[in-house]
Amino acid sequence: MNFILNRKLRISLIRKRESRKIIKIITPIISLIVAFFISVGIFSLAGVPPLTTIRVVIFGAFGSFHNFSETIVKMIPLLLTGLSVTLAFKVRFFNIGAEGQLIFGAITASGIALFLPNIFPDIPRIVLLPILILAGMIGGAVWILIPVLLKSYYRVSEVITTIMLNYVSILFMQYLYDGPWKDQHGWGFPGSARFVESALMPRFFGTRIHFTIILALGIAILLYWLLRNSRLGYEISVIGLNERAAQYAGMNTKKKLIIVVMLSGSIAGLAGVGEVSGVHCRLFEGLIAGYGFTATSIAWLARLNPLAVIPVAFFIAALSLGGDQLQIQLALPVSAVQIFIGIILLIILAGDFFLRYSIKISERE
Amino acid sequence: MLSEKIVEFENIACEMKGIVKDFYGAKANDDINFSVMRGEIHALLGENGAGKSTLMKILSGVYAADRGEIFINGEQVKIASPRTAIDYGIGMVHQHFSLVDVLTVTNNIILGDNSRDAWINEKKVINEIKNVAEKYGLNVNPNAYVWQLSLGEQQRVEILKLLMRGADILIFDEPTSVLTPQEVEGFFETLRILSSEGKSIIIITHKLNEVFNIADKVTILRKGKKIASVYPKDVTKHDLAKMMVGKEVILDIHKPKSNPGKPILILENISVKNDRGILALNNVNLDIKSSEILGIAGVSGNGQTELAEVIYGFRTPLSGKVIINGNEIEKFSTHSAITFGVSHIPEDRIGTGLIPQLSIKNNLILKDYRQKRFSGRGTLNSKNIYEYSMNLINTYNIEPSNPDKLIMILSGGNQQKVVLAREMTTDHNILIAMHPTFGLDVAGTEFVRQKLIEHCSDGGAILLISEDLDEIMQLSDRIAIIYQGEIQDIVDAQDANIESIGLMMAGEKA
Ligand SMILES: Nc1ncnc2c1ncn2[C@@H]1O[C@H](COP(=O)(O)OP(=O)(O)O)[C@@H](O)[C@H]1O
Ligand SMILES: [Mg+2]
Repeated sequence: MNFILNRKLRISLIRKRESRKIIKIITPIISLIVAFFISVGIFSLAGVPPLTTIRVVIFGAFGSFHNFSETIVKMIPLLLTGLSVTLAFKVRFFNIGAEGQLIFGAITASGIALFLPNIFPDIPRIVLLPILILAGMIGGAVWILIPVLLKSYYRVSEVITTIMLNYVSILFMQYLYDGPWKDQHGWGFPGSARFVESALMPRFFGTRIHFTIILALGIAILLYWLLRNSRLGYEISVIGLNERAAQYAGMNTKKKLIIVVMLSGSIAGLAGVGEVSGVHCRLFEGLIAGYGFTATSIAWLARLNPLAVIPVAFFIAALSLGGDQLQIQLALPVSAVQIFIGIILLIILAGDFFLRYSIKISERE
Repeated sequence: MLSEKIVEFENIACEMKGIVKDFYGAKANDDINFSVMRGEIHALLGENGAGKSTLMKILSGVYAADRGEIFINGEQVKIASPRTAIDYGIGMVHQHFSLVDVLTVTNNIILGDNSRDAWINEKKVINEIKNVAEKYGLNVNPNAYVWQLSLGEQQRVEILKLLMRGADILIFDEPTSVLTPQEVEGFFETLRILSSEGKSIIIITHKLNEVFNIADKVTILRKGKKIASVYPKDVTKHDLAKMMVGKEVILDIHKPKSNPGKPILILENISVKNDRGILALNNVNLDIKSSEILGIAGVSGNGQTELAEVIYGFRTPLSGKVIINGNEIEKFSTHSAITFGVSHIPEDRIGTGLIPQLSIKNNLILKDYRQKRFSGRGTLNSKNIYEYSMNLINTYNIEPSNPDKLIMILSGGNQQKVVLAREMTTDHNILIAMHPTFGLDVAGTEFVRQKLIEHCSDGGAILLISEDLDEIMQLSDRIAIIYQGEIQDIVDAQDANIESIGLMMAGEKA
């Protein structure tokens, strides 16, 4: 790739040879340390002593058993949406709308949680929860069905449709909890009624860590296996890398694309189930947290390897909780926290970029 | 006359010294010296990838050399762009033409010609074109749109374009690959007229016959290095081949006479439209028997691609029947073609036949991955896949012999061996081989042709589609000539006459 800078200079991007494994592992760690010091430096310009920043962030994420458990809680939706984006990208489908699918999954699950117990008051948790989970996953899958059909039949870019559907699902959710699903005893608090006990995920160790973590880790391992060792995984890699060759091999590429993308949507939908049934116990605005975009960064940092999504999601969760503490304890504005996370992501991605490319500036003839 | 020409030869028109060009660590040109005399027809000979196009693109200002000097008429010059090149009288006709389809011939010639006034008198230009065309035998209608022209006519437009901009050194990159034998003769005639006027011609080729037919001098490149510059009259065909390849080669392969059996593939009244909605095949009837190679001869773009696509299920015909082993194909999809036993070496190796980012073994199972031995219960059986790949790698001498290596690091010849191994090994009734040796070196070409012949002797039925008429003549049992989507005639290869085939390729019924 070439960029012409001015009459005299030309910048070219040159692809490097594959780096050694050890360098691939060390680079993001070094980038992380560099990024951390840069952001700390910026905060010290704002009058916060460097050591304080570091202490607050690290304590916020890992400082106590409670804080650590909250990091895990935060990690669950990040892990699931990260896996969702990863899977879709394997068939070259840019799912930027994991947040929309998460919310729609949360909506369908909430519908079950709020109304099924009215019909069957004695429904036990062991029956209700699986229905809830299934409903949420179907919700996520249905929500992504629209973009994938538009893409495969009319070549509409999924980047645009998935993003736009984020806003549709957010507005639809707000309509529900402000309107028909509004909590009658909620003193005007925006949200649905609290779910009945049997519609809540089991939690562990007296923390808010909920059962979804086990499902999420299981899905990460399953996807890793699926992509490497299964017939479907083979088809996914062929379709993602060369669609014409996939047709040549006799694969029904449209059908496979739709199936894989719906699986991706259902994983994001499961994240929504976890949020409403495991954390908040109701449908409310706390679900809107920009998961879709964060998930894209996570999938990318993990180099689309489902197992690597686990530590990356954990790390981003820690950053985000540590960042919250900056806001709470040091009264830094929300934007400062966003800058903090932004700088770190940017530098890690840059490190990753330079691992693969080098830049050559040469004189033009 | 002759002495005049010798005097002209004293004059060096252009000289390149110590040219080096590096593409990401691979030397496409490595310290090459090259010179052309005024009035000389100079052939640049070499295998695919030898660096011929690169060297000429440097001379015509498309690429900048990393090192080296260029002299025109004895003066050192710096050629920064194709525009500077034409200012120095250097013009190139590329392998892929650079004409604007929707404009007329005249407008294409005017386009980008800075020497003209802002107000252009089109009538005057048309007259100029007619004069130049007549003088050099470049017959073409100035008012025709480029999309209406055959590739041969488009080539003439390119030549006119250069001449009208005052080119003295004309470079042609593999010009004959788009021409029928008769068109080649006409083209060579034009070259002779140009050279008699003192213009220098450089013609890139990898065909030895052409060197002897037209060239005054030949320079041989191999793997980016210049091997020699010699006069064709001083050397034999074998000498040239040896310099080109670097070792002894067998130039002619022998196809034993085959005994065709019962028909395997029958096409009945097939008509089909191409992507632009134009009729690409019109009422085609063909049959291919077991132990038979049926060659399709034709200039590219006359329906060959669509023919292969219909049989392989990429395209659904408007009408007609495809019958394989007595069963009619009803649903046109690649999946059903594979079930009917159609194997296919596609024309676009990397874009269709292979996935460069995947390993050799994962490309070898591309057609058969559904089979129980490779993916029983939905799980890939890595042991069977490995053994199967190792087996094919050994049978077909694929280099490197490690099934886990990615296709993209293989040479073109080895990539084609992977396709060949897969398509010949998978259960099939008929093999469609499309441009099977395109872009391969001499050794690779020979290997592929040998395999096709063996396959035919073992009872295989092969549909061979190629633009290389020599290849068609060498390998086929029967030859069908295609022109504008219609089969002109089907002849026995033994009593085929290249003249009459050439005429039919140009649309003149014998
Ligand atoms: N634009 C390019 N970028 C990278 N490599 C190139 C480019 N053009 C040519 N090459 C490489 O340079 C070598 C010589 O190519 P080329 O000059 O096209 O050979 P020839 O015309 O003799 O077949 C080949 O190995 C080819 O892959
Ligand atoms: Mg070339």
